[in-house]
Amino acid sequence: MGAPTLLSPGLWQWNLGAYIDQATFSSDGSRVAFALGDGRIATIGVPCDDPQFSAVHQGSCLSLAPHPAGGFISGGDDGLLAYTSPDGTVDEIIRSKGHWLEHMARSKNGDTVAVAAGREVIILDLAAGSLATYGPHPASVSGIAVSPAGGVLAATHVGGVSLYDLDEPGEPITLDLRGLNVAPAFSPDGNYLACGHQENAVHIIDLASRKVFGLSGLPAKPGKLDWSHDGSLLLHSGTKAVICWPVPACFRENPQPVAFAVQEEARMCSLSANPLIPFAAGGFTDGTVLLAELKRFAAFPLDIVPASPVSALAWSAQGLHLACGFEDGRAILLDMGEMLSGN
Amino acid sequence: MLPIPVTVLTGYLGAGKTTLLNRILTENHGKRYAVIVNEFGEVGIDNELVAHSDEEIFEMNNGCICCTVRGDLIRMVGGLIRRKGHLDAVLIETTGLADPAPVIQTFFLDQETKDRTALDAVVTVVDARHFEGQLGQSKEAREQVVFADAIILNKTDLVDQAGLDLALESIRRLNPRAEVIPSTRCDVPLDKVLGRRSFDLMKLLDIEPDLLDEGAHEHSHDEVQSVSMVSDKPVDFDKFKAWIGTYLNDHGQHVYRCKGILNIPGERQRLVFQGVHMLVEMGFGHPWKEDEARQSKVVFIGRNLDRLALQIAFRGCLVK
Repeated sequence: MGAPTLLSPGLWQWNLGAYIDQATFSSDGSRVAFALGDGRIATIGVPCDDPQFSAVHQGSCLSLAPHPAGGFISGGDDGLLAYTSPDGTVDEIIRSKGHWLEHMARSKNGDTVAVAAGREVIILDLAAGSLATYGPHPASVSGIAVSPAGGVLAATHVGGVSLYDLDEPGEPITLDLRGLNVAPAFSPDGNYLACGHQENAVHIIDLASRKVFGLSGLPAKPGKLDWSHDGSLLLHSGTKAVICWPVPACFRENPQPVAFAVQEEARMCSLSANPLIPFAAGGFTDGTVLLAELKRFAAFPLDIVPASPVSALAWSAQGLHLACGFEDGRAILLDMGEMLSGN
Repeated sequence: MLPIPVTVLTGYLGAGKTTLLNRILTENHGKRYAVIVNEFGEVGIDNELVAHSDEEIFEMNNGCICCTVRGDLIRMVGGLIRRKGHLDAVLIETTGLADPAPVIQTFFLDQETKDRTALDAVVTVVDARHFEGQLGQSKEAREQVVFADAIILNKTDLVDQAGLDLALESIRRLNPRAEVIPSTRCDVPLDKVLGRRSFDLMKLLDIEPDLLDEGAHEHSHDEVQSVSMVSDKPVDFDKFKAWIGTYLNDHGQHVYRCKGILNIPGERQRLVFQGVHMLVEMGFGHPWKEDEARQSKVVFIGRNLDRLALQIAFRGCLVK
């Protein structure tokens, strides 16, 4: 385990030796981190250093976010919320015994980090160094999102979504949506909230008017949702193609999604939209990673050998690098600039 | 990655599930099992699983109560897949969840869970001494037997022959097709419980060839029935698919289980289907052998089934 392999211009691969559950970049974009199924965190200097491993969790590392001051915050199925500093020192933030800390979300600047623990959500205000707890919710929290500006927390659970004003703590506003809601995602301007459902459906909510656009009958659970950089399109996983819903056009009658890049043999299971340009990456169950252009609605696959399902995708905040993780422990980093100049 | 076999272990309170579970976990069988216990706050067995569970039963958007899925179960199976290392099987003990349907349905409803796991069998432990009494009081005790692929008739040392016969007869009336294994303190060979591949229907039906007599027959107790149909004629798959979809949509609430193997014209393999309530899954099974009679066999188990209507509809799906 260690040394990277150059697959093609701008595309490096490592074998990290365990199921990759999450990928994220450090706040300055200089390192990429992967959360591993054996409890370790691997960090790699961008673009192609050897990985450094930190043993953080007993069991699996399930969630990961960069700390604005450097290093990473992670949660595991051991209930530990930990901070791993850039030099690899691990400090316990809190321990929530008996809970899997698998849902984590953050504001755009990274100052607000939320993590779900059972029926509650813990909010870390990293700028102020404070911690607050929201809940309990009617059932286990199945997904969380923090609005880009950091002012609103959305927590999904059975029967609906709870919305909290983080600046003025009080009772949450609850949006009733039957079934088990998952994977909430705020639009970049914070005006819309989308979420997926265990029951193979997607909802987009106009937060001002409370209008709800609902779509059901998808082939599988849309467990990953993301918005195009300008908020004009909602993308979701669980389909055999790249599917984009135009927003707010979807609130009018007979909305038509844009669908392209049909994959006959696989289903999208991982997704990340580029934060700065009309571009998104979709990962499929057969190991294909597609780069989708959201202007021309065309997609092309990364030059990799598909082997095992794509389990993690993340763009750097600068939009230049894409990190991909796979179930068989392979990690891939794409440098867009290198790739384009190499072609 | 091969799908992980999953065994659902059920049984009424006090039947002996925990005894069986302890045997599976302590006996020297050289295998690694992950155990999911349904009713717990926090559990750690065999260093395989440490998790917290809230009971999460919820309705589908269509409002059908029978289509509940267990969020925790999906989460746990997902968690097990992440773990490094090899896992031989998953065992789910449905303590406190008397009706096994939601657990079984999870393996049909959630695509990811379905892709990663293979439901091996539903094994029900029955208390030979108290079963008759439980039947009278509890719908769940009946349903556990109806859903079973194998039944461990436990505590046989606590009843005389007449009591044993009575329990056997009651089981047979509810579920004529499950294998019944008599035991004391659940001392059954573990290969009778685990790795049964009961969902390999051919094997199951071959064990009990007399179950499917020519034509159709019916067993009934209260309103729970088993309707079996068999034909030497091949089945028009498009017609069958359309029919079973509509039928389960309309009557699925009353259908506990349906299973079958179909002879599809021109196909080398037998088509296998199985369903729970409104959900049905189909796929190709073993190839037919050269000298084998290609029979289509279908079983429905449920409540208030219209035997004649089923028979007519099934005939309508046969290739003319």
